[in-house]
Amino acid sequence: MMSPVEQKLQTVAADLLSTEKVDLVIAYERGTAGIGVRPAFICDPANTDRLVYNPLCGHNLSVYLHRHKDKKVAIVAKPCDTRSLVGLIQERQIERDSLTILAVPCEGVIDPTRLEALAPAEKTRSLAIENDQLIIETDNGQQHTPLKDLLSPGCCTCTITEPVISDQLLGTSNRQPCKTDEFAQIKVLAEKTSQDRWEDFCAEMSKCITCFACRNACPACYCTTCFVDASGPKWLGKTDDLSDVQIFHITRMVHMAGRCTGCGACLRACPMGVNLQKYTGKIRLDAREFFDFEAGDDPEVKPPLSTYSESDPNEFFM
Amino acid sequence: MSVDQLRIIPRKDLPQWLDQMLSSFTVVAPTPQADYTNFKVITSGDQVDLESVNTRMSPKHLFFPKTERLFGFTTDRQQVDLDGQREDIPPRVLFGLRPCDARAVTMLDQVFDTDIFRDTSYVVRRQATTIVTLACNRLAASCFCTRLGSNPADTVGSDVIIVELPDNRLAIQPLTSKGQDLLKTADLPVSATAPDIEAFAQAIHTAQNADSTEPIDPDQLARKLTTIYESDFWDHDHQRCLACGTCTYLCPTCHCFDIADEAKDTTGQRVRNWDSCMFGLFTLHASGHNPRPVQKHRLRQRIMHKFCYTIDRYNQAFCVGCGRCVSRCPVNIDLREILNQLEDYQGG
Amino acid sequence: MADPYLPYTVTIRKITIENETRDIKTFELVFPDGQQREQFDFVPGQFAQLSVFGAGESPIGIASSPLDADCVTFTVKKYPTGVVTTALHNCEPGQTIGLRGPFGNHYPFDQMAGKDIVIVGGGFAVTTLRSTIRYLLHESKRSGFGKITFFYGARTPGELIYHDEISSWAQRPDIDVHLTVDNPDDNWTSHSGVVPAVVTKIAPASDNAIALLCGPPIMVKYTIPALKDLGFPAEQIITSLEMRMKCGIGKCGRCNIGSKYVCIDGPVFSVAELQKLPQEF
Repeated sequence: MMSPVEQKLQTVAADLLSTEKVDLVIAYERGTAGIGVRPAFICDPANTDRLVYNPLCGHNLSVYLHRHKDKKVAIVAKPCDTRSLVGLIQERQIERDSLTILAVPCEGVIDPTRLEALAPAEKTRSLAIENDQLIIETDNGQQHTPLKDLLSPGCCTCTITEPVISDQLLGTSNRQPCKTDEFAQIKVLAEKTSQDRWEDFCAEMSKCITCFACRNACPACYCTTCFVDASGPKWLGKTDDLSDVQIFHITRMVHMAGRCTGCGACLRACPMGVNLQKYTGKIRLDAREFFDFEAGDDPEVKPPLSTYSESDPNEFFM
Repeated sequence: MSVDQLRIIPRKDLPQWLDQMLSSFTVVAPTPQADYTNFKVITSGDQVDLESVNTRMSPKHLFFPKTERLFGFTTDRQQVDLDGQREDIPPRVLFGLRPCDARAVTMLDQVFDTDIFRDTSYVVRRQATTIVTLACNRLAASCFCTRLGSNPADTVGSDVIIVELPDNRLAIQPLTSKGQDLLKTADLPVSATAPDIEAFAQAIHTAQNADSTEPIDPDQLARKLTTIYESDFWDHDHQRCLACGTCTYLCPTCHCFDIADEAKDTTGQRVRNWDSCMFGLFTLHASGHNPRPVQKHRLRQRIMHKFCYTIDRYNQAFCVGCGRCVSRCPVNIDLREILNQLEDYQGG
Repeated sequence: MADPYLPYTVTIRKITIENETRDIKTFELVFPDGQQREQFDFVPGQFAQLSVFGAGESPIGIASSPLDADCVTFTVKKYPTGVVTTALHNCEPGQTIGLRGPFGNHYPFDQMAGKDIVIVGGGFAVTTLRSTIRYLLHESKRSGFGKITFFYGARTPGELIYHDEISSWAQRPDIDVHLTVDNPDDNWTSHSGVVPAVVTKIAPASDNAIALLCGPPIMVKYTIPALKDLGFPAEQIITSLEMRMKCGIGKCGRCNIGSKYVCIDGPVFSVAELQKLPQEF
């Protein structure tokens, strides 16, 4: 059964396209695997009946806006996704005027890895979401699991319950900001000895196969030529040597300072389960502590990497 | 090899058999890593995890490593010394891979083990390896080997095939002389009785018929792809493609690579690294020209390469239906769906 | 087993700057071991991988004739983002570099035998055509072929390479040389205008003739119809392609056009062959 948000989404999308207010709607549709969803690109109002919205809609769709700069686009955005849009506006990557933000309410999105662990596809006959429950049908009968037990790690500590910017609200949520400290894991790591931190980092990095899914899924990673692809000068190699892998991630993360909104797209895209959020979280924490800055809060504020002030913290200089 | 070579062991004895193998071979097998398994060198038979249908990474890196030294060099301006000495590969057993992955190795053979320009290091790794395959007794949700004309008990590419019998026993059959040698070295006496042979045949039959989907017709598909190259068939899926290397890196048959020099001061090495047709850099000329400038061209290249160009060149679609790209693509680009759509597509 | 990735080490004997903007240089390479030069047995149209150790490898067409017994010559254009071409341009005579090859197919000399040959080159891409002309003009080969007509163009007179050699060809009775530039200067006495226009104006006969074509994509694109208008069938128009390449031996998977690998099935293709391939080059 279609949810009210889904119904409204289909109506609004069809209207925007048929009145030519937008050329393209970027949203979600059913995928091919179980109840999975995937990004959808709709230009024809007749196809808007394909659009869905449910707790599996994890993808941060703002990553696709770079490819459609010449179009008027409507985009479905969860509250945390709107923070990425703010970042892109701040960095002059998208024109606010050519963008229609369809803000959808979010109760947290399901982590595909947790879902797979609970309901391995080969043992599952069907999956359905009803209210706040996931209903798993296996050969051994039906099982109900509360959706909140399946949420992505970032959603378990989410404080972003309202869109920062929007043009149309497709629904509302009663969700309250989480009280859990989203940086708890990072603070624990930060307390450890440098040797332990390094070992943690090496263990995480050794899973990486440098497929660049993290970079390519990240809305803030839009450099025309990524430093890792540059040839003159060539900054680093592309071998499987751990140092090459680490330099890639460290450099990318530093470039995320004051830009990473913690949306978790990197984590969701990774085929090897590398937990980058552990480290990007530290970068976000630093931006907060040193610059009192939260990426994605306000399109009018200049981000720390784009500004300079004599009072900037500079202890790291000799 | 006839079935009178069949060996039968209780499943619980598998670790001991692997330990026996370890005294003469390096053994590489699926071991747990995070929430999945991957092929690793084992030091004890009980490290092997055969529960998941497929490992996260295919075993291709054992023949075609993600990074491989081609040669080392020492240079000053006048004098260059090259060191073409390759890593020594001791005899090894690649244990517990699935029929799809074993079949994929025969495809890599066609690329690397050629009459001219034979790829030395690939061939050395390949020759040193005995492939022991475990037939599948269940399918993962993303499996589609049957669509590619194979089946869960396919023996192509295997030196030994192991089939699980219903009573927690394993039937082990050598398929090649390499396989025979392994069973002699890792001392497994011929033990099968007539009912065992019957049970083995039954298990093979069951596995072969586990999936009734109709196989693709590779030649027909290749012809069709040639005619729809410029059509609107390619206008949709690329839109959500993130242009990452997940599909190609996890694929057991994708074999594209880059060659680069890694040097510090006067010494260094030339290496080859896995590369991916999904990356824009892959075909970018030094002049700035790119024959495949946008993602639509690159996704089309991947499909064309697997289901048309390799059929022209090697008489075989370079896909074994292992399902890794299907299950790990972050945006659900699903080869099974694309194959279905291709068969149904009427435009041109 | 011979290792196909291991290069010969060769010494740069001489470096010539070929153009006014100084971004095209010709490198004469000699093998320290004469036997290796014999092993390096090639036919005009083939290419090789040149490497500067530490910078990497780059595929370059062979510019000398197989009959130039003592050395092998390559002409290299430097691109701002080209790591290897830049490293090569920074080399000095006496330096040792790597050479791997020869690779690819070559111009169809069997098919060319006894025919008139029209050769059309543009800019820096004239390298393998220079190899071909040196070969055809050799006293032991010249009588095996008919009339040779050579068209060569560039944007400006200063961008025409192999200047002295081509001038010497122009003095010979057994080859017709037609030079053209888009932007002539005051001293320019030959044709002006783009290459296809000059080909159309001179109108070489297509009966029992074959055309070899190598140049920038835009020149190739417009010269093919010009040659067709003169009666050259697609099978008798031969061109050479460039693609980003790494291995040179049909394995690394990047230089394909359809099911053909430019490195082993090319770089030389007839226009008839290219018409059957996806237009993705």
